[in-house]
Amino acid sequence: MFMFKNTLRKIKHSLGRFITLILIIAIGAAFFAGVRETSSDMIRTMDEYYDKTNLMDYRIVSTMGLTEDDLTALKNLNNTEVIEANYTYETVIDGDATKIYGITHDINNVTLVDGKMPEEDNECLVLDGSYNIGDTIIIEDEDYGDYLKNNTYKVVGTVNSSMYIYSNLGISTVSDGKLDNVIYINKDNFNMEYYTEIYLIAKGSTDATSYRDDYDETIKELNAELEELAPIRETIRYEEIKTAAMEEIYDAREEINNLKSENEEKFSDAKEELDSGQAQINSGYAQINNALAELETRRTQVLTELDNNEATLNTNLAKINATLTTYGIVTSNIDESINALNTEITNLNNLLATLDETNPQYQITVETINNLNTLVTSLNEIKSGLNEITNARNEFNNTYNETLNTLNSNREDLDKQQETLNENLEEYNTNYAEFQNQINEGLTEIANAEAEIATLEKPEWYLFDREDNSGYTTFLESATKIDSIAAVFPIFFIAVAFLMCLNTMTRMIEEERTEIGIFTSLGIGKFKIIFSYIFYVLLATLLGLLIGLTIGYTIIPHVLYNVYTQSYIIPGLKTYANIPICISIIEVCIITMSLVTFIAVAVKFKNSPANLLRPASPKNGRKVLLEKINFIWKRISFSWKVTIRNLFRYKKRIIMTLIGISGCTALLLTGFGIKDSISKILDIQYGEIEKYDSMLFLNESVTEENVEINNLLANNNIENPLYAHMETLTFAANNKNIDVYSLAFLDNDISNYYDLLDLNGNPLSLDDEGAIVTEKIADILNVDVGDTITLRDNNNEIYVIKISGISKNYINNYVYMNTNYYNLVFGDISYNTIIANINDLGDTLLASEYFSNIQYTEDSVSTLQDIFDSMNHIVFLIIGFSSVLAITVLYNLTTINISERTREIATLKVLGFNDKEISMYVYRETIILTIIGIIIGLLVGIGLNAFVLTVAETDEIIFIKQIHYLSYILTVVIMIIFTIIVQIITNFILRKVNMIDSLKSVE
Amino acid sequence: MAFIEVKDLTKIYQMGEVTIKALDNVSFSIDEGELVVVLGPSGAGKTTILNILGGMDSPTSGEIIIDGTDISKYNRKELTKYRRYDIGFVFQFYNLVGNLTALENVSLANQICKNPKDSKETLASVGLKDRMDHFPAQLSGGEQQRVSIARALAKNPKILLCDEPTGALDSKTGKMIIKLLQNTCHKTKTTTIIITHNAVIAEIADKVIKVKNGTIEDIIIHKKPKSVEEIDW
Repeated sequence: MFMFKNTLRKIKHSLGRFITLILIIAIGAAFFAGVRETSSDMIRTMDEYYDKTNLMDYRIVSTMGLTEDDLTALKNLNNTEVIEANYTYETVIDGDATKIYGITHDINNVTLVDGKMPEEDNECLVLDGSYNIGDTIIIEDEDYGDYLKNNTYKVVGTVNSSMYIYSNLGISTVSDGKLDNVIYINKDNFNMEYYTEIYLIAKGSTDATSYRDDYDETIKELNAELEELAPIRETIRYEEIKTAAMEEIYDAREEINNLKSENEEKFSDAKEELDSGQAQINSGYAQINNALAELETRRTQVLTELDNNEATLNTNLAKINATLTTYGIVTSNIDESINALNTEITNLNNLLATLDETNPQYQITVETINNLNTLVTSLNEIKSGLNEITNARNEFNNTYNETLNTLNSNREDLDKQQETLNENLEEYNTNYAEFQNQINEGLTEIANAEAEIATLEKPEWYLFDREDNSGYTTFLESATKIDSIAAVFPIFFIAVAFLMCLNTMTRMIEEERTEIGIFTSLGIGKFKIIFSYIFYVLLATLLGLLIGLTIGYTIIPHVLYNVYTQSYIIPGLKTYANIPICISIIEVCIITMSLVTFIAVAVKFKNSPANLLRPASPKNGRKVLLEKINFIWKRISFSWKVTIRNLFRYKKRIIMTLIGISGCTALLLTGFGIKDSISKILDIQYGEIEKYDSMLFLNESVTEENVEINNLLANNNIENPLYAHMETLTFAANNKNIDVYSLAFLDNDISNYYDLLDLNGNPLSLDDEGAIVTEKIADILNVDVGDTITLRDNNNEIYVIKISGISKNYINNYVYMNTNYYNLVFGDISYNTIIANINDLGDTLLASEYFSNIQYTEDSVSTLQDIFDSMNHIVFLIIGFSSVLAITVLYNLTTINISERTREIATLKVLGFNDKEISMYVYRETIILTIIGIIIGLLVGIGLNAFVLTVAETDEIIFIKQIHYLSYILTVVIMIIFTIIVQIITNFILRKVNMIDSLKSVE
Repeated sequence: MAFIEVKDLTKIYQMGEVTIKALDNVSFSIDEGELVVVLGPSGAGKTTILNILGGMDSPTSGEIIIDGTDISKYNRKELTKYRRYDIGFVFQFYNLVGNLTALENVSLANQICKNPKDSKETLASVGLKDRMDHFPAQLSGGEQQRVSIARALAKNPKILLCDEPTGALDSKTGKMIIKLLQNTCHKTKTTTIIITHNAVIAEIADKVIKVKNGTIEDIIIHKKPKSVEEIDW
């Protein structure tokens, strides 16, 4: 109990030392635990998020859509846990490539951030940070009806999606090839006959941790099943489509035939009817015409006969009139003549009556009377004849007119009939032409469909897993980068922390030498004494660990993570206290610290108690080596001589100080060095080595320069397009396959787009003898110019390539060659890529038929930038912690230095040294140590930087290990500033040193 | 006017709630070149007198006039200057810098003075001519104390203050040191003040100031001080 009290009092007494001890342990533990934990916390957080939102393991897309049968087949796979089919549609809205999804509920669930889920068909969700709630989105595509029921949507909610955790949403099939927006609508608002995507979750994948090996293992089996099923379903779907199309054609043809047979009869009946109608009309007209002709003939006959009869009568009349004249009768008409004759007769009869029969006159008169009577009879005959003719003529004329009228009215009727018939005919003709057109159209359609079937290609299934999601993989890379740095730094921190603790404890025990002696002589057991010190140390260690681990497991991961979320849309970090690691850290710390203390105290027990009670015999002063070099020693001022002598007196402290200062310097320099490397690497790779701004992927490969493409490019002012064949190959090393991009160029001169330099900085050029490979390939395979390397394509074909040059390269692995060499090794070349500077003309070019996709250098850079930024953030953390550590270490060392020499300093004060001289007396040592420490630190830093960057390198990245001179300067300046800060603090401690201490006996 | 004039010197230490009167209206005077012993038991206040005379502490009240100047109101800086130029201090435990040779220890003090004595000569004068390049650990206690005296003398101080100079030494060596101090005092006319609890040493002093419970008990002036050979303890 008493020992505990004693220890607690010690803590109270030298609170500064105790706190420093706690701080140093805390920093070491915080950094060690924090940085180590961050990446696994990140991965676990994301795994939980993926599980919660049911992120798919596989996504299947087919070139011809997916059917209900496909869904069933997939559902029936042994390793399918959850499955859901969905509709999607990609379109351009306001110039943004937008993908519209149906809202899923079993897989790839969205998390509502604000607003509500859509209820109506014209409501939609958007990714948080794009549109605002209340915005209206209008689909501009005129053919939207083929895909969607509506074209206007109101944003009612914003969501996050585990499919889209990264600011870069990935690729799109429309616009410039970069997906800009994602919208979610209710599934039943799609108008499509088949699904566009099917999502699958593999059995057991939820229990496996995403990104970890067990996840890859878990989904492997489903993958195998899918690979097996895909060709089967492809064929079935192909047959289905083909059969359906054929059936449709058959039906169409039958329909046409029916149409034909039905309508043709109808048309011919109608035609016949029309024709017979016409014939009737025609015969009607003929009858009328005949009747008319007959009528006229008869008229002529009748009139001629009548005229003849009249003429005869008139001739007879004339003869009679002539006779009459002889009788002296002249009249103008028959009736007068008759009257005149009758008068004569009467006269003659009267005469006769006077005359006797024998009178010659008589006879003559009788004869004359007879003659006259005959004349009268003739005249009466003529007169009635003429009347008869007139009557006949009148009668005939009446009949003629009547007949003519009848005929005319008949003709009018016929005219009307003809008119109707003409109309009918015209209608018939129009209908018939239309009918013919219909048939022809149908036939053409059938012919087209047939042609289409003939060229119908098999549908292709595309299998995407999570690794095809750029957000998913980029996140892992970011997290892994932290890990790779975490592998090296914390050990450094922990090492420095242990050294400092050792130093502090040794000093403390040295100071309390007498006390230990007293306790021992009082008969207090060794272990009790040792334990009192271990208790002191453990108290500090546990408090330090408590603070350090708390910070390490909470604040550090959060700080790192929050900086990440700037480019990710993901839930907040969940920190998991990693109990096993936590315990092992605590164990290691407790054991090490106790051991250190135990040894330090145990050494003291070698002395007898009496010995301990006496002051430690002062360390022998010794001349230093430098003094033997007289000509230098002579030139050094007395104060500096004293300083140098002092320095060499406490070798342990020098070493500690040097390790502390140089360690912190090295950490700082490494921090800055990593930053240098990161900031330069992208500029060099994408500004100096690869100079093009885009790669255009051709829809169809060409075997030579294509004039039309060249014209298209030329019309858009795109000059010097470089045709290339690009292919991903692999080479095997370290038990895995490493990707290599093989690029074969049409032109031998690629200097417009590439500056390939060898490792000494001399330019390289392509030739027919071999290929240029990038540095990392040569490094991994340990090959040199003139050697060969073996590459495989994805069909496992092997190609052996001779190295004609090794080029400086930092990101990705490339094999560059010219067409001749490609032809030699791989066979006939076909160019699938054009490298060019297209200056924002992506939309125009993608709109043409030639290009399927465009890869922008800028996008690659920004993705990598995000990954590298994550390294940058940890660098800041390292710099921050190094700084705190540096100050603590410097402070600790200086205070120990002063406490060891309180008596000396007090003496100097008594001797009349002023404050400045006293400070300088101590500072001179610090200055020398700081200078030497910084120099050593810079050298170590160069190595540490190279080491850390080498560890952080992947199979695709080489870091620039050269540190910018400004970083050296900055490191030195920061260290000097720290030294000055600590010296200012020290100054206060120095002033407090009491001169009376010099009068006390040596302890 | 005496070389050192102490008037009504009072020093009160405030230790939390407790007030300790270390010196209570102490007055005495010392002439130039005098060898003075301040004698008293532990806790009598002699160390306080030493601290104040040595410029390491300031009194609560009273005057200390040294060579006509009152140092009682000196500030930190002035006190440093006073220690630097006017005081030579000899410690009970020598307080040599361990990693400096005897010569260097003397030179260390030397370099901050206005007209220091030659270090080598001073060392020779304390009888260490042949041990100059030795480190303290290589020297005996008496030799170390001589270096300490040499270091104080080399500054050419107005007052040589010795704090129990024989306290850590056996009596034979102690006597040699006392002799050295007496000789030096007489030879160089340096005012020497020895603080001790050893009444025997007081016999060689020109003046003995006896301190008890923070007050002056007595001041004895020896017209004929004893020589070192005559005393023993």
